[in-house]
Amino acid sequence: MADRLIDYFVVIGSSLTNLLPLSSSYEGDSSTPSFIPSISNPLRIPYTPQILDRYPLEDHEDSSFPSGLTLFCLPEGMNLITRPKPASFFSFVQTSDTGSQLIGSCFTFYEPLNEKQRKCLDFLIDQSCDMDVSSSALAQMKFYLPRCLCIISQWPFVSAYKKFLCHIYRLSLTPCYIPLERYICNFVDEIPLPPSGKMEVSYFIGTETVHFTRPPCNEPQVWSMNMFLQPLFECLSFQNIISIITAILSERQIVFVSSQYSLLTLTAEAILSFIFPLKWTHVYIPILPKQLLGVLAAPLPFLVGIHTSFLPESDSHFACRASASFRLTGTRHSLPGNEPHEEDPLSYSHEGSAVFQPETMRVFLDTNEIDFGSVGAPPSLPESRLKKLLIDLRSLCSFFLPYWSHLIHFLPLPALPAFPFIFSKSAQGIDKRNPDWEYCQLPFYDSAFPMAVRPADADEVNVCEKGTQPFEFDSRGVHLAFLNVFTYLLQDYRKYELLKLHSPHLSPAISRYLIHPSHSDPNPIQKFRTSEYLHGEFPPSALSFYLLSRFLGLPPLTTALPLCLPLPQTILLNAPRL
Amino acid sequence: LSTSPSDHPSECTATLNSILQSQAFYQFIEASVSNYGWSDPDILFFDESIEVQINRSSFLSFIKLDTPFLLDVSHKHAKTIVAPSPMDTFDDDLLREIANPTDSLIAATQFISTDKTGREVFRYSKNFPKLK
Repeated sequence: MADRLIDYFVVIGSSLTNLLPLSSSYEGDSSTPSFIPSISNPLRIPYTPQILDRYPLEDHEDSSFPSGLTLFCLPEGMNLITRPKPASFFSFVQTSDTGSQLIGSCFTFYEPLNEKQRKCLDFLIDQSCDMDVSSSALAQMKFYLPRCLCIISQWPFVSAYKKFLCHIYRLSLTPCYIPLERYICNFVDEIPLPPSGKMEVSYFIGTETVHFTRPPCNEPQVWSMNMFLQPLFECLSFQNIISIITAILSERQIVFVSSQYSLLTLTAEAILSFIFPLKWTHVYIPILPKQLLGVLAAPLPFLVGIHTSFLPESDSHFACRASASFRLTGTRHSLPGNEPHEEDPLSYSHEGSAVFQPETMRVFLDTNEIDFGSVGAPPSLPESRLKKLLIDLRSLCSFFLPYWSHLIHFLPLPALPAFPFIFSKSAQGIDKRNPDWEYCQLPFYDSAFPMAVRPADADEVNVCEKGTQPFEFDSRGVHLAFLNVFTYLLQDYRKYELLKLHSPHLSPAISRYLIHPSHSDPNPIQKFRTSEYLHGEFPPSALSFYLLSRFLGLPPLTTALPLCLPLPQTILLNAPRL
Repeated sequence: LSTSPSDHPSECTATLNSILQSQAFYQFIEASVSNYGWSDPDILFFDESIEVQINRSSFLSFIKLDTPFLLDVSHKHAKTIVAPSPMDTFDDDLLREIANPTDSLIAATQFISTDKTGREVFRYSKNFPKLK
């Protein structure tokens, strides 16, 4: 890992002098398009995003400039819209060919077409034979295109990046003594990367102070303090979160679906931090761009996230509630019941939507529903662990009162059934989310600036009181609750057996399940006796050995025993190679 | 000796089996076998977490396993460094430079100085290219 905080600052958008349809192979004089192969309606086709600016201009030696950045910053492609949307923010994760992860933080705002771009658009419209809007109406329409400010980093300080990008955007709208470039240069180059633990780095952004901290060395680095776990618990019930984790442990094909891009990354990252000490080793694309939907057909385990607009029409019942909320932030301001005033000529089509394999498990974050696919539900956790985990989570996450009605009433938990196919349907009233969340909270996850529900909209629903009491979310506690499951299940994995107690050289060095490299077999293919572990004593009774070794005055388990004891040759055969 | 609640072996087997068969577990075992000196902090953390769990579930409370790695407080955040703000290294020379941008990037020179309140501040002086 590089010891710099930020790799690149990038600006992505349409070419300032031209509009290039994405599918056309047109290349030529960029100012006057002379020939465009037959184009369908130019208002509905995607355009080619470009990298307009970047800093630094040269690639870093150890981390080349990420390819396909434009796809990830604009997952739906660059489309024209007729009414500007509010600025939005989300983060995405890109895995490089070396396996290292790059975190992209993307701030998107909308700008009207400039004169040259408008000329190009008019030209494209003239060429088109598929126009369904009258030319007089077109002349009055204003069109907008997205532009993205993006920070690429290897470190997940996403909230700090968000604050910085919002600040830069605000500064760009106001006259300022210091050039904008100076702010970018300062942020990218001059903030030192904090070490693991020991020190934190503070930085002033506008009136706010942000802190960059990394977990101490003796904490898992995936339990980053900058990670937001709240959105996951706001979206999904405890039971659904647990069944996603067991699905991840059984290496299923999992697709997260949401109308909010930021939720896709936040929930996927949070879920993956819960499986420590294990790591997800398969395809991981928390925000899958529309052009890469083919990944869903891969016969491999994957964990990807897609936007609800990519769902096929047959799944629109999952999307309909979500898209109703999506309209709050979208071009059409309407709540269910209010018909849209006019039809938008740029409405979505289901063209090129996602095709799922039957065994793919789909998680609908907006509606807290899970479709386990043809394989069925993954195996559940052992009952005693499940109960303990639920009790822990309930005590740690009790502030989700506005969202989850079962927490409000503290209903006694019914006996937990085996995981049902779609939990929310059989939930016996324990897993109902407060419906206000869908209108007051959900549409705003993506918005870059905090926004309140308009009073006119709020009349329709009871606005939930949120954030009236500041609370400290104990993310470490939640992580520890999940860690307890793994320490329980894998408690014995390093279990040792005492050998040759009568020998002058006491050696407890023979591992029961782990197969260390030895002289006879320096590179064993199988390194763990899986079936022995499966059929071993359960619950694990490792304690007897631990205590025995302590009574015998042996060094504690965590010091490298076989390495520090003089071992006779007979034992070395089974002991790890020195 | 263990006081952990009893599970029927069959209940655990399905979950445990899927974990043990997974690629993730394979990599975890690879790491814990090859890092036999417990040089991987994540694995050391997990091993000591197991000991903590055993300590907790043991009714023989007078015998506790040591968890020196987990209890090490020397890694705690104890110090705050203030990163330079855009104003810090911004002066008239730099303004002139922006008005007449040069193509070359001058290598960063880093030095630490102390600000008015006595905190250590990282300072760089560096030119930057003009963005569009």
